[in-house]
Amino acid sequence: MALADRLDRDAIRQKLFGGPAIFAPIRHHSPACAWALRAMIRAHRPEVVLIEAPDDLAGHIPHLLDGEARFPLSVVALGTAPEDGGPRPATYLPFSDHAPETIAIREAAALGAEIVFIDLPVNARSLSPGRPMPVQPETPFDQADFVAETCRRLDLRDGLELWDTLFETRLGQADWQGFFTDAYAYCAALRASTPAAVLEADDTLPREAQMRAHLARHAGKRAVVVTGGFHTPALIEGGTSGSPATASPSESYLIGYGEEALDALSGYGAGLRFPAWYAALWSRAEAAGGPPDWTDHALSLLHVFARAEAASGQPIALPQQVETLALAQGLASLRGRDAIMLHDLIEAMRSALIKGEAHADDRRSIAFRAHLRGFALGAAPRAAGLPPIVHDARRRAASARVDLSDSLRRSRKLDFRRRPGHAEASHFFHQMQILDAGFAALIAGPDPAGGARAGLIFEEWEIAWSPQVEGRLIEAARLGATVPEAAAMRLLERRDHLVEAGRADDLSALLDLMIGAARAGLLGRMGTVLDSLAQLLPQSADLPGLADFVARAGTAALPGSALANTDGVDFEELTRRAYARFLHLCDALPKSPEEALDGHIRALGRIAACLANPDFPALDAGRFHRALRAVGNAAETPALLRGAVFGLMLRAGLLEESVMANALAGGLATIGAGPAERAAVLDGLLRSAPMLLWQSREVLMAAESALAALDDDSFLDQLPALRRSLTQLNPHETNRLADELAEIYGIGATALTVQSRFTEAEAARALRADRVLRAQLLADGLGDWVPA
Amino acid sequence: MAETLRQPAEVTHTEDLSRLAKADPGPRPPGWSLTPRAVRRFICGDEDLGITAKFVGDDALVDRSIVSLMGRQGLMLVGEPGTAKSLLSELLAAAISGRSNAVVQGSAGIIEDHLRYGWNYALLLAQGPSPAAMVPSPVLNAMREGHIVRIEEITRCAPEVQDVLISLMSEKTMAVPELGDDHEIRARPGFNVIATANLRDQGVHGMSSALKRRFNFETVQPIADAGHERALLARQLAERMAEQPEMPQLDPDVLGLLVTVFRELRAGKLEDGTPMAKPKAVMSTAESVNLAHAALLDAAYLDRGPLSPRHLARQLQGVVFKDDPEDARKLAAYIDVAARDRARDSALWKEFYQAAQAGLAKNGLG
Repeated sequence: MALADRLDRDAIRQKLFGGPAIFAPIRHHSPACAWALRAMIRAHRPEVVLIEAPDDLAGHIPHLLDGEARFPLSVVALGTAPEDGGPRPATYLPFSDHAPETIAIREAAALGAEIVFIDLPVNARSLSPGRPMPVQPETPFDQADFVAETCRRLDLRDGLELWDTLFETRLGQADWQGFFTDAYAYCAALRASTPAAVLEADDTLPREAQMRAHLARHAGKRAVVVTGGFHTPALIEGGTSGSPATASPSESYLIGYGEEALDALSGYGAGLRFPAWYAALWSRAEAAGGPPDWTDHALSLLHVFARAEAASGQPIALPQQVETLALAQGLASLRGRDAIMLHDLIEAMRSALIKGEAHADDRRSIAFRAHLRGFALGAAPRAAGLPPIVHDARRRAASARVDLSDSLRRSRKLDFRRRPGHAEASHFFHQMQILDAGFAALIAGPDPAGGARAGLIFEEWEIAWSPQVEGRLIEAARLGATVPEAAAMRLLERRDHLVEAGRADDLSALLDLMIGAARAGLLGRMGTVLDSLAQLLPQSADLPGLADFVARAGTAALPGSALANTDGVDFEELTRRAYARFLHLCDALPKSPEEALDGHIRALGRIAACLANPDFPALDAGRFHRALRAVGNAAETPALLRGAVFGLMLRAGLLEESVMANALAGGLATIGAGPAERAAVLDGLLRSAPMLLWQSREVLMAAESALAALDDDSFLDQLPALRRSLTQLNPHETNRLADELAEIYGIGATALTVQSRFTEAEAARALRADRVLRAQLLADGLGDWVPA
Repeated sequence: MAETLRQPAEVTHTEDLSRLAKADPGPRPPGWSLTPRAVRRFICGDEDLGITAKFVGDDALVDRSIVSLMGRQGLMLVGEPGTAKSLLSELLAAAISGRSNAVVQGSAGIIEDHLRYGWNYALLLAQGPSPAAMVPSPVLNAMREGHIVRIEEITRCAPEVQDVLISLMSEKTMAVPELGDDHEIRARPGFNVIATANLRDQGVHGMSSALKRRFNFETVQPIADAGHERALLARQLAERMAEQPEMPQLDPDVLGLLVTVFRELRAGKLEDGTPMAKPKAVMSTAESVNLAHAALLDAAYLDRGPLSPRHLARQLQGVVFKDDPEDARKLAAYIDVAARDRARDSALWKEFYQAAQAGLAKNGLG
């Protein structure tokens, strides 16, 4: 190796292996490091083995040694909940079968040596909530300047290929001292080229101080210190530290982990990519008791991949497999390696198997990368003590016939209305969704409250069990011992948040909770929400909220709805109560303040639309019509509201067209009123029943002749208000109106429409002007004026 | 003045080739004039030996190509026009075989004889079929002598002509029944085929899967790194202008502007990620070299001054206005949005913008 000359190497050897405590600078999940480390521990026979892992997680060590444990496993530790009530931060400490840490624990146990975790405790670290974090981040291995420069000199692609070339190719070799000497030189250079600001940006420095403090406690003992190579220089040369810091113990569990999550890029953010490749290499080296047969490894991996491809209808002919292997071998030797490594195989696959233009996201490349990554899931021993909710979820998942042995995403169709088993599975999937477990995603299915596709009888789900699912369940364990219990609790928590946020009377949010609960089969546990709804409905003063409630709860109670026959809660009854309250509030409508008019008009329109649906739960339409009449006739009813109410009445057949026409003409001709007031009746009509303008010739003519009667000045005064009213029509409705007018005047509709022609350059200029204006408004502190 | 416009790579880079041959005496694949590693250095460059990189941006692709050519499969370079597929194939042939001039230039007019052999009809009539009357194709010559043959634009040849290669490449043998039942020519070590193909242009044919199986495919992508692209542009310009007596100064910022314009039009989005309409015209690096070359001649001989953005702007329309009239509007929008914004802060962009606007105005698009 050209990394260090002879003198340097002697000095490094002295540093690493000169004292009673000797150092193993490793890379996490590296089989080559694990191999050298095992030889090192067997040769040194330490009294104590110190390992880079949070010191408060040491309680899991016996379970890692349990014969029942199936790797990969991970300790998931939960930090303290953030103040805003968001999810607790979770951090993962994974152990693969070929991780140096795993090997260190096994070897130490075999020797009877003490095992000590020496990293900063979980609760003393800065964890960001929301995203799972690795306990041992390793970004410098890919990003340090030293890596980039070395790659350039050796004609290699990236940090992973460099690491592979320098170290993983030495898997199975006996010279552990030489291996760790080089690894140290490499990591020291990596560290030296990492800017101080990067080290200070995260917990690196306090973590290293903690490790040194633990080291100091064991000074003088025969020890092996297993840490990421990046930290080793700081442990040897970092001086002394006081006693180890303590923190409140964290809540942590040992769970089965997955190869997919172990991949450095996809999930956990440390270690190597493509764990299945390295796991297979490790087993080969173990079987051979020395260096694995690299070519045979590549061959068998390729062979298994070809079989999987053939099974999915994309067979790979034998000559192409041979060519792939030959290419991989050629690439390895061109790059100065005896062993075929990952990059060689991936590139050879691309050249030999993709006939056409290759893209990073073509099907075969994706399949091959997934194959190298692997799908295996580990399982924690029973003694490790998972919270009961995880066991419960696993049991329910198994009875819903979910495959728990891998993390492949599968789709699932549930005939949830007719088959009780499917209904149970649907409830379970919905419950997991409420818990945000990342397990099930609803792809297609009825929307019981919105009414869209309400008649669908199947639900389509995508489901995948993964370590993250268990992590999320553990996080939810405080809510209950079973999935339904925790899901119901989560819903009730949401209700509490509403109360805290001063939205205890938010009917729409409460109804969402009820519908969510109904779909997850949890209505029986929602008694308190139901009670508060029962109390709220007769008191609510929120007319639009009540209309929304009537529309959605009524839709949920429709005969074909997925929730129509939900035991326990009668959505129809809730709808009736809300409707009664709505009608009660209608009495006060004539006195509505101006700013509320818009919402009230929309609410009236919504109820009218519901009543027009013959399937809608039996509501007394007559009462609504009486209410409309009362509002329409009341003297103090604002013109806008009157226009809207008249529109609804006309549609319901409660009003003569002539009355509407008179009201329109009267409004437009009111003497002494401002333009907005004059247009108000028309405005109201356009809001509630615009179609009347083209459905009723009399209404249209009334409006038209009232406008025609205005003199030019009055018309010009009126024009802006009219324009504003008419902008409520959508383009389709505008066209209908134009057609109608064209017919009245006997001219072609096209003569009325002016088509604007913008060139792309003009549009671009307009956009630019818009951008400048926005920037200016922002610069002037008028950000509120800028529309989103 | 040189006597030819352009020399083959093995002549232009004779020194590099001989230096590499001396520096790396290691074992070579049979029929190769350099070791695989030396071939790589020849193409990707080697600072220690003073060898400049001739193909930039994707060293792994070069590795794979070299290894493919060591085996029995041919090498098929595919990708958008102007991504230096032909350049790469020429460099590979020059480095591996010492000669890059065994070429079949694919077109609709290519017939089987161009890939196999034809006859000198005078001799054929006088003597009957004989080796002397045979006119070998570059492919046949390459088989006999054991070197690389290049087939450019293979997808422009009719499928039945392409099919000649199928058995030839698997058997590495060409039968000549006219010279007797068992007369055949067997390829010597060192023979292989590098084909280039455009899979998307108009007027190209498909390839049979039998033929595809005999090739390893490599996709040559446009250069990903703007710095690399600028360096390549500067170097190729310098090469082209080497024989011109009055080579004006090249301002790196002006070249940078050109590279930016090409990259943004090619990708259909501005550097800040703002999406925009993407012209259909090929905005390759090769095209930018042509443009810069023309602009440079304009600057040197007509304006007698250094190359400036206004020369580039004048040539740009010619590149973009090739077939689709819609492209002209897209260019106008680009000039109007991107160039105008930048013109406010940069004198270079201002000059570019004004010249481009003037040009567009002449075409009724300003």
